[in-house]
Amino acid sequence: MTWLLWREYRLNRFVLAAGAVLVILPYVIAALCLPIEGAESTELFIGAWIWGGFFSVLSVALLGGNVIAGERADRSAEFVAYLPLERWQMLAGKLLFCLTAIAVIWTIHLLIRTVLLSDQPAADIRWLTICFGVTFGASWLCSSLQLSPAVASAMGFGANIVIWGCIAAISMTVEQTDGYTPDLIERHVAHILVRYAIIGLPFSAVCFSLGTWNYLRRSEP
Amino acid sequence: MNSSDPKVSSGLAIELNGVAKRFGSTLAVEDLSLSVKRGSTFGLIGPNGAGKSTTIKMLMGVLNPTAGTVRVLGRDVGDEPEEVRQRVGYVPEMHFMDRWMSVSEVAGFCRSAYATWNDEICRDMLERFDLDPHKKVKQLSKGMLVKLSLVLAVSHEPEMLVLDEPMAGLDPVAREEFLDGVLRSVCERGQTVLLSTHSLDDVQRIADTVGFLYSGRLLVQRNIDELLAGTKRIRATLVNGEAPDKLPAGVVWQQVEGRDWLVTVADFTPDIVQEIDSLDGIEHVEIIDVGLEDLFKDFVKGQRSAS
Amino acid sequence: MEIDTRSHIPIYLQIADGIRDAVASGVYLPGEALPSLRTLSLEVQVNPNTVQKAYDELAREGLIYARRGRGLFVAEKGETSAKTSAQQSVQRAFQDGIRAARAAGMSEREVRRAFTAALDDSSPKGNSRPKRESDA
Repeated sequence: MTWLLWREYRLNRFVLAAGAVLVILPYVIAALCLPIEGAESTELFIGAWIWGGFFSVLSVALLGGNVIAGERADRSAEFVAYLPLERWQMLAGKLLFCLTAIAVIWTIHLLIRTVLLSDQPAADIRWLTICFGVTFGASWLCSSLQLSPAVASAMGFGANIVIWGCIAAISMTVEQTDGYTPDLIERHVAHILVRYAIIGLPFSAVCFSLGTWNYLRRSEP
Repeated sequence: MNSSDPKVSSGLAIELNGVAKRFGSTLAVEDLSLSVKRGSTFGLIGPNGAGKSTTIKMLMGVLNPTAGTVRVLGRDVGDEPEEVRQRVGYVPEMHFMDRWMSVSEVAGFCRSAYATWNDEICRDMLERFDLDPHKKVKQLSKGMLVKLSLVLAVSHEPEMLVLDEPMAGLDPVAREEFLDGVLRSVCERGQTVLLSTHSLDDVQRIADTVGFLYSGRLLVQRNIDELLAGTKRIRATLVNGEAPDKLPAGVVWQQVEGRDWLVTVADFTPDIVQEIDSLDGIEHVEIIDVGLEDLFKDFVKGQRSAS
Repeated sequence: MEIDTRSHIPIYLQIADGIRDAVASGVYLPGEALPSLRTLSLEVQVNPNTVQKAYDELAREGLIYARRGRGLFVAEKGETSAKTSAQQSVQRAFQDGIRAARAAGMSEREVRRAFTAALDDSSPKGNSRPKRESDA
């Protein structure tokens, strides 16, 4: 298992490094902008939170897209296929690596939120969590379907658009849209979060299960 | 090797029974039945596209047959592919090890996969082949890649070696070194060897039994010496320039050029010569011995004209 | 020892012939040990089973014998036996050649003439002659 994890790390270390930099970078930029006249720290850090979140989701998509399809693209899967490694062993290695990486990214966000944005209800980590689930599930499934890593990552990222499309459609039909009060907006946002969870989490679970099943049942590399 | 394991039957290293593989509308392998005894060396000859690589993929459990059973070292490959791979050393034609890995990293990765890895053999062979452990795979030439593959294949002390056109495209020196490596291993461990190739020179050096694969079908499966002794060409003069209609059994291929008639016969006996001699319009019957290459060509030509 | 994989002669027989020639010309003397299976197999680049088959053939002829745990040795009468076998294979080669000549329609006189010419060409003093274009 150690060697499998080491291999996954070596295959993906560029994505991890780039992801780490891109998550931290917006906050560095925000901090640098603080001395500027008229700069509001809250605004800057919320902006950084959004950008950081965006880059994190991108990283998760790249990781998920590359994890299975990457070794098919460079054909190293054809080397590993002839070794006496069980499919589930390889799967466990890939999964362990990905979940660890995602957990680290998530924890960074949690820390930032706790330290910098604890008074900001907008910096809600639940949205990010569901987004990670949706993105990883979709890119994992596409990765297992013999698509190229780039396409798998793109589709993983793009799954979010589909999910949000569904939510928008539901919200527009269900919610009343005349006369917005702050109270009403807050309730809408809460409803949308619930809808996001109800649609996103099962979606992510189904994609992940299909991808796993697909990877395990094939005998070809 | 656990000889008390009831699933493991002794005797046959490879057993293919009625194996077929279909890709869409193409039948790559058709009704293939083949057996290789433990300790023997089997040469699988055939032109490109004959189905050799497909057969080997099925042997290694990397491809599932459309029909038939594949048993390797007493185990059904479909049921226990990893157990089979633990005991088989495989050398491919093209090498897809992770290109960023160094030689020692590749060896380390493989070591973790095999239960019977012998580090001493690995180090000795890397030294013998003069492979720098710190060199990355992407820096290795084709000859060095093949040698590395052989090191990896042999280091876990397998019961059988499967070599899939390993010497294709190698320079003569690398080829000799590779052959030397294989022979050393066979001398030391008496492994069963399956060599897939279209080089008849390689086959005659390494194999004692040979199988001709053509268009997914096995034309012949025999001990090489028996095949050479039992297949002969008969040359005769056709008085009327017409070949006889009724040919004796065992004729693989015949060729008429003017009055010159050339017949290739398998399972040759002196009676066949008598038979041909006694046919009408035949004179000056002469027996010619055939080398493996011409023999193979005649079998293929015979198959082509029959289909 | 060179083996010709293009020849119709099985490799084990080629190896046996090679050893027989070596014994006949004194490369291996009676009582001397022959190369081990492994050594010869690696030298000639051939499967050790094939070398074993060659050795078995020679043992059957009585040219060599095995000493338990010590390897294979040339028999005392090895040299003469080798020469006899060599003569027998030469006889066979002549018979094949004559059969081919007859099939080609050559008369006995033509065959004798061809034989004498070939013998002249191969004799030691013949080698000092400049090679003619007709020499293959």
